[in-house]
Amino acid sequence: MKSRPQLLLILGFVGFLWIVGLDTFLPLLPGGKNLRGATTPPPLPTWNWTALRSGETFRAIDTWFNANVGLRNWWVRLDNQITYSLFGETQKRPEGTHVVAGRDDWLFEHHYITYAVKPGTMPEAEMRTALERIRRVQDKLAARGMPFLLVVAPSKVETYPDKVPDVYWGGRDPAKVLTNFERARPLFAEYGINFYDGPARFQEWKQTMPDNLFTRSGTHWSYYAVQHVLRDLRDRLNPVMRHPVPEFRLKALRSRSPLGTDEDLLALMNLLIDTPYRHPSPYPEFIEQQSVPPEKLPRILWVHDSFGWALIDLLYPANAVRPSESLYYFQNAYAIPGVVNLKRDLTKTDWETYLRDYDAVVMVWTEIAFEFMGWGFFETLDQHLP
Amino acid sequence: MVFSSLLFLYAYLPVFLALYYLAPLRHRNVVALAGSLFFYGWGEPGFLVILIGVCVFGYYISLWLARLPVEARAARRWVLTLGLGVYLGLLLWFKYSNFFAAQLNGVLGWLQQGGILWTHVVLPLGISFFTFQKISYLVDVYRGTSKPARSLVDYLLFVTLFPQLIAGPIIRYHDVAVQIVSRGHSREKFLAGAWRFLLGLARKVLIANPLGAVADRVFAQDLGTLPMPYAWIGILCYAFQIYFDFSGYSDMAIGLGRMMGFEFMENFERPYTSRSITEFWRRWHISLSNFMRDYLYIPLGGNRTTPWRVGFNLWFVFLVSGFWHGASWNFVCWGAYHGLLLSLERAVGLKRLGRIPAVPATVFTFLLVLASWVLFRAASLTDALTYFSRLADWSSWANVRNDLEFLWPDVISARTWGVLGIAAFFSFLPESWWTRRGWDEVVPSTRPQAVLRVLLGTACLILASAALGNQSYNPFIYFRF
Repeated sequence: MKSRPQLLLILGFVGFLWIVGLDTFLPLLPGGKNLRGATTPPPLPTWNWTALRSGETFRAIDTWFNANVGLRNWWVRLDNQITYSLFGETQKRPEGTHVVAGRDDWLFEHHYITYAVKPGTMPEAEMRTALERIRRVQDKLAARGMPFLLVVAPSKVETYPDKVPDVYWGGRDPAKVLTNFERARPLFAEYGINFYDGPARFQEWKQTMPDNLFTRSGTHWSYYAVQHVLRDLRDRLNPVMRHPVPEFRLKALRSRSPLGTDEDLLALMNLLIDTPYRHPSPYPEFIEQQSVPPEKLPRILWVHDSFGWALIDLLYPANAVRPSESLYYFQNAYAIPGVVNLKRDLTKTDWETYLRDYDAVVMVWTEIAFEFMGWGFFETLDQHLP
Repeated sequence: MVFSSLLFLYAYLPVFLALYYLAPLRHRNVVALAGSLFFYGWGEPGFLVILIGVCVFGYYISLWLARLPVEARAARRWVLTLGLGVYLGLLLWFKYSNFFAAQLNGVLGWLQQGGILWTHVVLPLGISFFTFQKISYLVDVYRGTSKPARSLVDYLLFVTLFPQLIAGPIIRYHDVAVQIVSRGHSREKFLAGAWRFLLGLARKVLIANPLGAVADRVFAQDLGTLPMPYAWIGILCYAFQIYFDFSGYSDMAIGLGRMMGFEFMENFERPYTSRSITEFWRRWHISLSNFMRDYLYIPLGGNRTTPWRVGFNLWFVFLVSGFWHGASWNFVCWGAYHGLLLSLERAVGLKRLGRIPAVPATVFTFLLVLASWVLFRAASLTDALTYFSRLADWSSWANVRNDLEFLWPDVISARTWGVLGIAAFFSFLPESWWTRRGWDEVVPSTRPQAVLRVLLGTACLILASAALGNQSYNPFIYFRF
């Protein structure tokens, strides 16, 4: 090789190392760090003699550098693309959400699959105690003129088991395994809990609208399915609410590239090019109702896991309810719509006063979250409401 | 710091290369030394004191040795013994004292006596390698093979030169003494070094790391119930992991050295193509084999003694070599196993072994090596024996399908199957294939070869960076709270 190309190669190689290195500290290159998914930023290095001597500072620098290296967005996406496009699978990670690539680009969260084929082992006495408490809270709320509705959302895996690769079932059939939620199902009726059985409803709907209850790229019920869920919830709540939810009418049902919770798993995969895997899905848009004045609209308190967001996303723009609050996992309080973190310490809430402004309490949890039994919400209310 | 990290690749390396090449020629050793000490001190700065302290001792004791007249044989031998005693004493203390204390406590426990109180001793990074280098220097000076280093800086550079400091190749002083004083820097050499470095990086990051993850997963299971297919996958992955990891590291060391103008010896020569264990050890960790030959086997009498003694010498050298690899009975047994196989091959006769056709000989040798890796990788001898039994448990196949916590795709992904295939393909390709196509040459001799190296090198850098970048990204779908 001649001298000039050699020099250019050396400059190109060392220059590339320099540019990526500098991009770690200064944004030199385009699209460097916008990755999707929830991560905790690594702690900044500590600069003191003990930390320096023990090497803790250097290890922290190493971690920080890995999390901020130049072109990180491209590195992560390129590696994921190779794994998915060439091998049809997702990146295995020591922690974080484990996504499983199913048939025909259907994506699943791994722990939903495990839950579906692991027989529930929660003692029945424990279930009964928890359900008794829910019933007590329901009664206490009813005494204050406030209906309570427990919405159990279905699992994508249980709705579309045929899309999960057989090897993940471990030789088991999810239809023949009783999970904790499935064991508890008859007890909800026995204790008279106002309960919306999402999984059962989805099995009914699967006969008439087989493919759209979940999108291939999302882990939550689709917006398309949620419009039907919202109608069900309205029908359940309206007869007992001070201010009923007005009718919300569909403006359009557009077929479009998935968005929001309809694409959360695909987004989490962080591919370089995900267009081929964005299968269009129907997306409902409601007409913003004007007939009922704001003061006559109901105010609903939501206590929920991530399945609650799709309900909120559709209901609030339709102007069918008043702005209210969401208690996400009963840990953080958000103002909705807008999802603004109120940074409120829920342990210091005066629940009697707080609940006075609401017309209904709706709790949303996924069937696999059954064991958490409301993340402490029922215990708190049972204790604080006489 | 390790070579296969983003911090090394995109922070340390560009800064070091710039400083090294911007420095005047006469100051490059000082820059290289400063860079090496910084490299070593990163992560465990406390050990720098030990490293420098032992180097200062080594430099002055070798000067003392060199100044003693040749006729003062007893005094020279005494100084040599003192030097070797200090080096080996430090190695014993840092690397083996925990092991011996545990053994002693085991015996005391067996005798129903109270154990000794012991504070765990932390192992300084690379001590096994730099101790051997210092021994080679001291012995070379004693034998007169090399003159002592002209300055403390030169000696420190020989020991601490960062490309080879942590994991070899074990450089003998007489191999690099001239290069430390004067070495050529050229564009060809730099590019050849960069190519070799990137090749090593890819071997380590793209092949060894994913295979290592499989092996780690398998060996972390309850070995007593490990299904047979997993046991085979685990050990195959480990066999290729250790080869691509170690040889990849050596490639990176040789490449970095070349970028700085140094030429280090080759450390691996396609060991899995060997047709006998004797050949395997000529191709695996060559710098260690050479060190053991020059500084232990030959002083023990080497080949020039009775056949029984030769056999014993071989076995003993490998026993020591096994113990050098790690302070546990597994490594001792691993060394003894290899020593035994070598002694047996010597007894049977290498010429006779050479008559076995290539394919069965290579497969048989690989299986023998595979068995040795079980000893090397298992956490204890009991685990190793259990693992051997799992390799032959035909009744355990059904468990592969049923254990939800340990499903086949969770153990080995399709991508890792691909990596395993690539690793096996390149490991078993015969030497002639590489030579015919010019891949053995340091500098490419044809334009297509040069272009191919540039393209492959670029791909190695991009893909390895992608894999490294992704390793540290473990997102959740949402924050729960």
